[in-house]
Amino acid sequence: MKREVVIVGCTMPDLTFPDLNGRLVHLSDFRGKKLLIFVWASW
Amino acid sequence: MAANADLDFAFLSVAADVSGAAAARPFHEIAGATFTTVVDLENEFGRALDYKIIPNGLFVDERGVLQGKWLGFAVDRAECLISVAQFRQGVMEPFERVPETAVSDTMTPLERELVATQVRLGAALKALERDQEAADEWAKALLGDSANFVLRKQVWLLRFPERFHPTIDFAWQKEQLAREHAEEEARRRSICESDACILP
Repeated sequence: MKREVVIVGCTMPDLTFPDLNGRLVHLSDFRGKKLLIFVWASW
Repeated sequence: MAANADLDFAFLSVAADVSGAAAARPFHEIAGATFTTVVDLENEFGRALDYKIIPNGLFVDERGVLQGKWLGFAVDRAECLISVAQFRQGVMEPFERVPETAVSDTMTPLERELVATQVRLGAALKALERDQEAADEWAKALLGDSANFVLRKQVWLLRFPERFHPTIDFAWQKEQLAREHAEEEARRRSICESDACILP
């Protein structure tokens, strides 16, 4: 079994998530741009 | 954070809400956000970046390489905004900022896989609106990953919704955390190891 933890200097995995309308968004969609990801929760 | 018109900069908001878009949408709309918000239903980001608290800021360059990881990032803190400005200007040095209270992960690969599987199963149950079964599955995951505060809050949200609405009861959370840590430790002591059984 292999688990890859991303550390600074590593390439981000191309994770995919649904947006608020259910459309799938891939991290690779943002290639070519500096990307700031903010992780939060309603709680 | 205001929407930007830069062609070479993007902002992505990731809601770590097991309740999905329904929980995240009000906050996105109240903010008048023009950036994209996605929902991380199965804690994929948490696993990939190995964080157990939120909020967090991740700085990814044009090639998709992680250049900055800030656990406890807050968009209303001056030092955070300075980092963002430096990042946009291309003058930010790679960094990782972790709170002093963060607990390092000592799980084995097998334990991580077990926790990940339990989290995914819980997410599947939640999607079927079997909320209490989902909470039970995530509670099992907490036995292996007790420092995962993101997961623990998801369990609380399902089991004790009254502690989050209309306001979040942080005093109760401190007491509940202490209770659950004591219970989890007692349960772990009664679990057999591979070559011996530890009896309470």
